[in-house]
This record gives sequence, C-alpha cells and structure tokens, in this order.
Amino acid sequence: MKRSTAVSMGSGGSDGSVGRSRAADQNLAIIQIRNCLLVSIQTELHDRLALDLQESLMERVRIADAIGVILDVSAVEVIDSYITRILNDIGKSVRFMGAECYIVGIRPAVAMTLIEMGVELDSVHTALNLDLALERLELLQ
Amino acid sequence: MPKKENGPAGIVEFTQSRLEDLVQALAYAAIDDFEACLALMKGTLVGDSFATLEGGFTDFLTQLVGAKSDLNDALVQAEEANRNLEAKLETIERQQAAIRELSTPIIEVWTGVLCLPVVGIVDSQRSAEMTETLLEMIVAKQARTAIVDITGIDAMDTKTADHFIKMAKAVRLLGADCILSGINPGIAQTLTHIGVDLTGIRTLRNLRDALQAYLREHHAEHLRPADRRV
Repeated sequence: MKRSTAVSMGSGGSDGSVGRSRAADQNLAIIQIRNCLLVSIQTELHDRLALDLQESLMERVRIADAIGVILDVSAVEVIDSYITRILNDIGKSVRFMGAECYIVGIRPAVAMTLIEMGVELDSVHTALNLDLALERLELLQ
Repeated sequence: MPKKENGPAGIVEFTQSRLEDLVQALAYAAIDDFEACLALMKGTLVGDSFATLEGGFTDFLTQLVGAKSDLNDALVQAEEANRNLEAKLETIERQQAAIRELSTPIIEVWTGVLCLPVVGIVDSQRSAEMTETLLEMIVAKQARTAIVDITGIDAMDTKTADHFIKMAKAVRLLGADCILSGINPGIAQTLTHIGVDLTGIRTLRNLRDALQAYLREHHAEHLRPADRRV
C-alpha cells in the first residue's frame, strides 16, 4: 500500500495521514472531526481512487478509533455500479470495525440513475448533509 | 387603330382585330384575369382556320380556369386543415405543460416535511418527473421527510406500485425518509393480492397521521441526547 504522511488536517493531534491514489496527484483528504472521519470527495470518483480510499480509510478508522465515517459525495456527478459496490464494501467493513458509514449529499440525478439501474446502497446510511450525519452519529455515542 | 398599307384592307383589318383580341386575351390570361379573357374570346367562332386556333385557345383557357380554381380550392382547404392542426397541437402542448405542472405540486407542510399529493394515472414518465422534482425539492429545502399522499389514486397495479417503491428508494438514497399515506381499502387489497412488497416503505393512514408521526419522532430525536446526559 502506497501511503504518504502529508499535511495534518485532523484535529486532536492525530497523525493526519492522507491516502494517496496512484493516479497522478489525486488524493482524498481524510479529515478527523472529533471521533468521526470525513472524506469530502471533490473530484470524479474513479475505480482506482475509490479502492485506495477504501484501503486508507480502514487504516484510519483503526488508528483514530472512529465511531463514524462520513463520505461527502455532493460534488460527484457519476456513481456507477462498481463504485456503488465499493461504497457498500466500505460500509460493511466499517461496520465490522464497530463504526457506521454515512454517505451524504447524493445528487438527485445520481439517486435516480442508481434506482433506475437497480443497484442498492444498502450497507451504508445516507443523510441529506454533513450536519445531519454528524447529528445522527452523535446520537449513537 | 392604325391601318396596314399592304393587302386588302378589310381582311387585314378583320384579321388584325381578331389577332389583337387574341393578344389582349393572352395579356389578360398572363395577369390571371380569366373572366375578362374569356369574355373577349366569346362569340369569335367563325368557320376558318384562325377560328380553330381561337377555339382551341378558348378550350385551353376554360380548362386552365377550371384547374386553377380547383387548385385554389384545394389550397384553401389544405391551409384551413393546417391551421386547425396547428391550433390543436398548440392546445395539446399547452395542456401537457399544464398537466406536468399540476402533476407535481410539492408543499412544504412543516419545516423539513414535504408533501406530494398524487392524483390520477401514474405512468413511468410522470413518475420519473415526480421523482425528479421531489428529489430536487428535498435537496433545496433540506427536508428530512417526504410524504407521498395517494388519497387521489383509485386503483394501483404492479407497475404503479413499482414506481412508488422506486421513488421511496431514491428519496432514501438522499438521506430523507419517505412515507406513503392515504392508501384506500381497494388498493390495500389489490396490493396484498398481487403480492407487492412494500417493506421498507412506511405506510400511514392519512396525511395527518404521517405529519403527526414525523413530529413525534423528531421530537424524540431531539430529546434523546439530553435524556442520555441525565
């Protein structure tokens, strides 16, 4: 696994490592807020990126002892069946580690496409926005 | 009328006037004044070869006039039909737009609660439009719950039920809840009979119950952390 320790973005003095994708210069910052991990995906989510995210995210959940993982996909315009599978996998693995996974900000068009394709995002929770996801995760504590 | 110098004056003049009549008639024909043209050619039938020409010309003209008036009639009719069709098309387009607007009246009945009353027939195109509008409204208003009220639907088949299931799933993907309210006894029996699986979709008696359920739950949700702290 290729990883690099880069800019510290987490609060609470965690090591703030960032998962780096093998595709040129694209990496997704995993930000720690209290005991939740937040990934804001501001780019198109392709397969390699998603797989790398999955790997580094699991590691971070263990290190940070997080109770929740929030993936913000409000900037993602295309979610295909493979990405859906990876997201479901992330949800399952995160749950095995005792945390919950929230996908927030799915676009209406993306939601309609997923439903039309008949794929289900059933291993993750969904929330309208970051605020609501954090609120629901806080209720779990 | 200038007289010609050569030849016997009477015949030349006679022929000349007939020729001039013919030329005049042609001029009339050229400017589409067939009545004047035919009036000019009338009574010129004399049994010589020039008369044959005149007769032929008159016949030709009569046929031309007939054909032309037929054509005009047909054109007028076609135009009329075209205008009618265009008016009808316009009406249909206007009505379609009106129906589209009518089909998705989304009301924010409470902060964070959207209500979509559905009336009439739900086909796949309409359901897609309704879902699209509903999802966009949920995101715009950041609504937590969408109540789809189907009091106005009398009968439901598997396809329609499927549309509503898809709508509920899409709403849930965004992170909001979807409640189906106002299922009438007939539909309830049909759905059970044809074995439609509505698990995962909350169904409540009517809009009032749905709204009450939302308020009850979200009241509880806001209380829960406080309860835990005590």
